[in-house]
Amino acid sequence: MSILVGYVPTPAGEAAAAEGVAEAKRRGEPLLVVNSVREGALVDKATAAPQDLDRIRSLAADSDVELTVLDSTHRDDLAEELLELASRHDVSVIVIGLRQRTQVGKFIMGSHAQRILLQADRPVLAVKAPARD
Amino acid sequence: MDFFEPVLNGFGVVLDPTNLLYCLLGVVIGMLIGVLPGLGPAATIAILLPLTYGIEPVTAIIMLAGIFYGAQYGGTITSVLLRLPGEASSVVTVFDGYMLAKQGRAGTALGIAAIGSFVGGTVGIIGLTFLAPVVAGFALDFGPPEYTALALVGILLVATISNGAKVKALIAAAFGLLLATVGRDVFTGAERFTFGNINLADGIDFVPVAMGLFGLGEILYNLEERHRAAAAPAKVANVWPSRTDLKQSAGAVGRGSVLGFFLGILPGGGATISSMAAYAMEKKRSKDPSRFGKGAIEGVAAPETANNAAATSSFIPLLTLGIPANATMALMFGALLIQGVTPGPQLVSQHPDLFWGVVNSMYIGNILLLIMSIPLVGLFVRILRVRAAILAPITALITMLGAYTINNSMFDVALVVFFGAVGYLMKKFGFDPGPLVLAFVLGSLLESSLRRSLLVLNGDLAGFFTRPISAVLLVVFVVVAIWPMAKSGIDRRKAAAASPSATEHEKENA
Amino acid sequence: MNSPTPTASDAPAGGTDEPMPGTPAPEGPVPEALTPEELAAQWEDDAAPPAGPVANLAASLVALAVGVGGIALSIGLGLGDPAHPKPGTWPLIVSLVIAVLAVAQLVMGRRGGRDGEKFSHLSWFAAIGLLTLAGLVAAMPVAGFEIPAVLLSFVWMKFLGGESWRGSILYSVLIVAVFYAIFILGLGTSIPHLF
Repeated sequence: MSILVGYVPTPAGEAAAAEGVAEAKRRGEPLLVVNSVREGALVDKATAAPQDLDRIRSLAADSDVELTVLDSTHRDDLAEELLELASRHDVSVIVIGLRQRTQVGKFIMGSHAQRILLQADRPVLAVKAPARD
Repeated sequence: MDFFEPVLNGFGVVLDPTNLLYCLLGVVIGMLIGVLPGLGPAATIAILLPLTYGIEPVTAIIMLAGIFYGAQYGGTITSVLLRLPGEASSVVTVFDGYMLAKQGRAGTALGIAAIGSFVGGTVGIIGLTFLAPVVAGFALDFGPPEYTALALVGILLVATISNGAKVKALIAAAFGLLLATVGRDVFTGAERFTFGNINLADGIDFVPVAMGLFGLGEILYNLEERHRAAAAPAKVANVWPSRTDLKQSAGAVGRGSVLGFFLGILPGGGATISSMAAYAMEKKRSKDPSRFGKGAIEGVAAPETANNAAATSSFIPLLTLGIPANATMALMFGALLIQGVTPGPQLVSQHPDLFWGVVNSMYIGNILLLIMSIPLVGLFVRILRVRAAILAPITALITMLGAYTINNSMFDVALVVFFGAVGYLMKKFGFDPGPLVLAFVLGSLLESSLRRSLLVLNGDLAGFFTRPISAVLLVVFVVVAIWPMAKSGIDRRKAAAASPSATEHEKENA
Repeated sequence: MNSPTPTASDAPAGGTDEPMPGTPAPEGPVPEALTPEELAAQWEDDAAPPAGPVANLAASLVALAVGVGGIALSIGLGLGDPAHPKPGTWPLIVSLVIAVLAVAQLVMGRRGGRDGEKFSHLSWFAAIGLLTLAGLVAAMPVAGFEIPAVLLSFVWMKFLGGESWRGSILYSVLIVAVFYAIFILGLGTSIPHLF
């Protein structure tokens, strides 16, 4: 049993990572962080840079949480990839970041978060980015 | 100063707004496809050939040339930032360029690459300016036998220096020659290999073959691309190389330009070989070779200078002798033929505007490259975020629609698809498509000069050897043809001599 | 303190030569002090396996067939002699060269070489791509380019490229619309079009 965080280097993703660390500490379980990169292009702004992952590592270290970073890519379905990973590692909670989207935006461009929430077979913790003051 | 008059006229041609615009367009497109994985300059030039129909010959070649040397620089960007060579000629740049980027000096690496490219290109152009008229003048004395021998040597050199099995490249070249015979025989009017198809009666058009083999073939091949994970976008601080960097690389740049210039002239040579040779040379003559591979600035300066010098000098055989030195030059040859200009020794004297216009456009193009190189890097990195799945149908459709516009004929589009399949299969089976296009383009000229030679010599084949120039060329031909087989024979005998003693050693130690 | 990364204990099914998804990433970024030799070796590992002896045999036989066919047809065109070459002379020489080289390749490459690439399951993508292109050629004169182009683009994006349904349809329509604007409205070419 562990916690799975679907991470992207955005404010929502950072919030999810932080919350994931906290949740792992609360439950006393190890933490799995995955930054699933979309195949097909050479550069993708959703890819985490080494500094981002190092930041999460030190965050986990400070809270005394056991951290594993997973390597993963997907073709077009991030949601399915995350759910598959969750099932394979038998995680107790999936933690994802939610970004602000209008309903129209969600319709046209789709929403990974929505699909994970609706199709998950285990608890999902959806975290919003901290509100801008 | 009679010598400089045509050169100055050439500048007049270049500074014409249309030509300037197409130069800019070519350089930008070149940089773009150098950055994007999948399509190379040859494929892009092939796909854009239909565009050249509606414009002046000078303008067309200016744009196509811009694509060519622009792509040499574009490939550097992915090499430095992503450790992935965008072009074959940028492979060696990866070793030191990426390490420099990891050390936070990506801007320096790209800057020195831009400067090196500029210097290399300029040296190439100066060499071209002085060397070309000399060679062309010399070649005006060539008769049909000399031209036949020269064309044969050119095809052979390109085939033997191609990657992959040499024999397969030769088969590809021979097949190109055979394809060139389809259609009406110019000398007798007989129809050859047309199988009654009316569309083939005038022969197979060069452009659909090129678009299919290089353009569509490449696109189909890329559909198979093994997927790899994307990298995070790197931020490039706009730091130009410091004075120490420049001083350190000055030697490398100088040596790289000269080496690149001479390697580019050789048929089959070219940008890729020049970049590798320049890197090897710098490493060998360095006082501390262990620096290379860890971020030595010469490791970026030398190959980048060399490949641009080579890209420029590879125009020399084409513009002075009418012999393309590599596949991309073969495409330029074809583009000129479309415009009704036959490349050859007479090009410099009969079309001075064209010749000097193209040469001088390279000065301008190189300046544009230098100016735009660093500022546009950010833009190119953003463009790298477009997924291949989106780009593929776009390029495929451009190719198909463009093919139709050549002659408003669906048959041409069908030809493109057919040769696209051929190009893909050739890649899979290890046949280099370059020699095929080269031979195809030279095919009819080669045959006509052969037949004319036979008429001149009255069927006496020994005549090829009594004429000094053609004799020399044919000897070169034979040597280049036999050398690889002789070498492997010698190597095998050496290995056989070594192994009996090796097996004896084993018996002793057992 | 940072805990060391455990090795992948669970081996997921599927996946052949690609790294197994969901495996722990190595500590820190990918090892960077790769010498040029190591880098070249890594590229070679990532590259497709060479075509192999069967492919060599097939290719050589096809080339041989072309050469022999060329010889036969050239003889039919008339050979003449060096002083009076006929239409068949040059094609005969070339076809002969092809045939000889094909036999040479057959023998030399019988153990396979390092050139070419084996067909993989990804090669079906290329085959499908080719089919769609042929379909476009067939459909264009009849139905104009717009609809076949949208279909081709959709198939390429969705099935060959792994894009989403929504994205594929949207981008395909957008792209063809742009092409319509450029080729028909802007350049005024006479590509067969429906609208």
